[in-house]
Amino acid sequence: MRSATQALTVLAELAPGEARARLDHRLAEIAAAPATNRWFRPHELPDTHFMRFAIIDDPRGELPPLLAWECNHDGYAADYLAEVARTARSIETVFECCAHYPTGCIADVARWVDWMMARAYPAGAFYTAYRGVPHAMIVNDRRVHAALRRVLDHQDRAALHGLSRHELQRRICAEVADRHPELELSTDDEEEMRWMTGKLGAIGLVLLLLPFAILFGLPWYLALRHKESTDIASAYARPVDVDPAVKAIEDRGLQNQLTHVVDIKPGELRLATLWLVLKAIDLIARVYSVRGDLGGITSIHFARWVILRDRRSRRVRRGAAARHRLLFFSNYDGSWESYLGEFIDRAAYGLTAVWSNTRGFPATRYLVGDGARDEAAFKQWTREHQVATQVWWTGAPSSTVRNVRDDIWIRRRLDRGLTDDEVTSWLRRL
Amino acid sequence: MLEPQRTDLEDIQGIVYSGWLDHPYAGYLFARFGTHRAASRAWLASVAPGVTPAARHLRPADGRLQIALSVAGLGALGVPGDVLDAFPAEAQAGMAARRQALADPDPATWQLGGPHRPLHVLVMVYARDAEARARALAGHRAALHAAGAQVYPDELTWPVKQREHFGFADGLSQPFLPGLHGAPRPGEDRIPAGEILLGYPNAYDQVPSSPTWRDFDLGRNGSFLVFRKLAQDVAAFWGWIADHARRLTGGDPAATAELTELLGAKLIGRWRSGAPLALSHDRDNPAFAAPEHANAFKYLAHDPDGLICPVSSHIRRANPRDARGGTALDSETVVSRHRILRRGRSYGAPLPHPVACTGRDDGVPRGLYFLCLQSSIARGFEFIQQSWLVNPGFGGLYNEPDPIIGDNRVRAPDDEPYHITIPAQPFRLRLGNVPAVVTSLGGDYFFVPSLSALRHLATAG
Repeated sequence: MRSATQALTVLAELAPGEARARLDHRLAEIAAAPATNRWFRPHELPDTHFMRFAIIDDPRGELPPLLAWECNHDGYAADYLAEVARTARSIETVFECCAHYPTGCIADVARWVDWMMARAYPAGAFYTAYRGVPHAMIVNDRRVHAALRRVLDHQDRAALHGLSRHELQRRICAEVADRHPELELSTDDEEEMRWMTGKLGAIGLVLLLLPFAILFGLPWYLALRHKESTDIASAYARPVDVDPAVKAIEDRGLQNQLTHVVDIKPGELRLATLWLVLKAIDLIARVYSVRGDLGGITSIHFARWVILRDRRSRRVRRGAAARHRLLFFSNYDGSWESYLGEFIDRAAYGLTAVWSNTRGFPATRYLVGDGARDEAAFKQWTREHQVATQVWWTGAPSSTVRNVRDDIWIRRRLDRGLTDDEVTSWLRRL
Repeated sequence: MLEPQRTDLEDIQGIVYSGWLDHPYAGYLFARFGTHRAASRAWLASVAPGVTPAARHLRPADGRLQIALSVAGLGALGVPGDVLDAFPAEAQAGMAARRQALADPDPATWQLGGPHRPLHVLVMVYARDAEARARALAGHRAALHAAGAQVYPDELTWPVKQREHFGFADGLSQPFLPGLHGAPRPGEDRIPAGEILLGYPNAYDQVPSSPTWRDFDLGRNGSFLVFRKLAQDVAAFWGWIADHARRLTGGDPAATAELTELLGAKLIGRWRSGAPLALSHDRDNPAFAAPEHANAFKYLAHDPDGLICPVSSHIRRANPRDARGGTALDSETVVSRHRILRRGRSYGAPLPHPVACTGRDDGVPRGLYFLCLQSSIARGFEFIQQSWLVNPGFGGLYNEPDPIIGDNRVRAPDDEPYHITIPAQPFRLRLGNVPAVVTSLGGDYFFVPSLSALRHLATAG
């Protein structure tokens, strides 16, 4: 099942000239009418949980603007892209505006996949609340849950009250099976054991790396402390002017998104530290936080960090330090304010460990201390580096993470000899 | 300074200290300043000495006066743009601009505020009788008018009762601010002064930044005020509940009346007397309505699934206490960062409860002037409204906004209409056809400056 729920991040330079205006225009039309516009309809994509297009401009104008396609999909990237080329060819109208895009190449599936894969960046860390759960299963299980609830609503309550709990469950399940032959009601996929091998592997890996950590730990730590005392950090001054385009797409409904781009602090130490921290988070996300709970945060569907290295030659940079950037894409439940609040209240260690390696982050101690705990400064810093998301699409807009996990839980326990406690709990969740 | 000192009480406006329930008649006057700044400032200078402070020895025997200014109003008084820019973004934007986050109706339809009626200043008058209120309001209206302001119609409260219009005891749950209030009353929980007032450490142990103008800290001892005029359709609320009760009981009048009360309590989380469901499960028991009981309960330990007090009930959403998610301590930490002081009052004559249960409205406008104070509107009112009340996914629910505040006219993005779930054994009851019973008629975000800041604003220009 390693192939399910993958993170695809395609970053492509925009073509020079009027391509930018053309792209802006097309993305705006797509965002305004995702299902009916004449360019590209995201719902035509196969097996896609969330996707977005965001144009990443360099505020200093030194780096070329990029089109970011963030996609959370099922299956291996190459297979997925091939399927996209077959079912959603109109996506070409977006990539046409990118540099070196061979217009019409989507007709040649292999060539198109190659072009995209050449611009696909690996995620430094990738978290999902439902790793390994295909989109089709999420849609199916929500329908199953809704059908179960409708049966309960339409039955005679008094008659149902006379039944034992087990009989009650059997009755409801039979009714749904009867009325909805199109729904998948099998209960035989189990995720519980799948993570055990991963956990053992992770423990082995940590033990293997321990001697190196002891060897390099102290010099690294001293160097880091020195950097922390000399870095320039932001303190809260006043609200920043938020791009109206950022505001317009924010706080719209049950789910929301965030696109964030910030320069990594110069020097190899910061880049290496960041890489290591992201790897650690990625490992935790893969083997430990696999049930919709990342250190107490239960509102993130998918999130990823991507390190984007500065590929300009020293000559092009005119000797200036390389500007590596850290991209963050998140798809979450609730409002911006509640999301940032959860970051501060529950995940300040992890986030500070990541973003303290980027420019202007509120002052930190020992890599993970302070930082995001400075509430006003952290929110302001987040705002300063937030980027407008031109098109954002979600495949299950009315499900929170909790809903998705409850739906799966309920479908897995359809009429299959549960204990009394389990049946009570099952009935309570309908 | 961790909390206000004695001298600060002489500087803080009294509305932060109290809702002045001993003055049952309140009136609100909204105005838009004229273009002549000196005249507006002269008006402020003339009215500032009469503003009621929190300190007891400076309060008059009769009558209370509080003044609040919107950021646009501060601009109209001559506060320069770079000072206004230091106010929090949401206070600068105003309530109409936040409509998407708050799930509010189109501001073009509002009675109060919105794009066509900018609100610059709010004069709040509290009196012991209707005549005194009328005199005070007339005086302020004339003075504002003389200063070139456009004054909007009076907004008059119904005399204070302990019940809001749906019939439930109200104002039972207020936080306690050390330094401002003498000693916590039973059931009041302590929050840092900086959660409500600028100039003190907040729940993150930080002193929020404060706008300064001409070397004077405008923010210190001030607070942000949210004012909303909310129409309540009392007959729609109780009529809807009574319809469900009738259907479920087969029409027996006594059983219908009893179930109507229970369902009403399940939707709010309290019985009409104020007794919480958490303490009195099956029937109203006014003995539990006393403040020492009315707040003395938790959800997570005794009622995680909402079998007693539904997860969707209004009071559980507005203050989830220990049941916001995660451990009890995690939850209480999060909840402690979203606290507000409520200062609301009702308007319009009440609809008798038996009439309301028939579902027939008498056509009299009625509702709530919702007022609340906080040091950050984004983290206070907006968060509670957005993340807990109107959020249809609150607490793991499906398509389920708050039963009274949620705008149920808006449909969920997929096929399912909104429902309200009342957990029960062996399975829950779901109430469909949820009516929209509360409609925002408008309002705005204001700043309640300290008395010294009011004087500074009147003279510094």
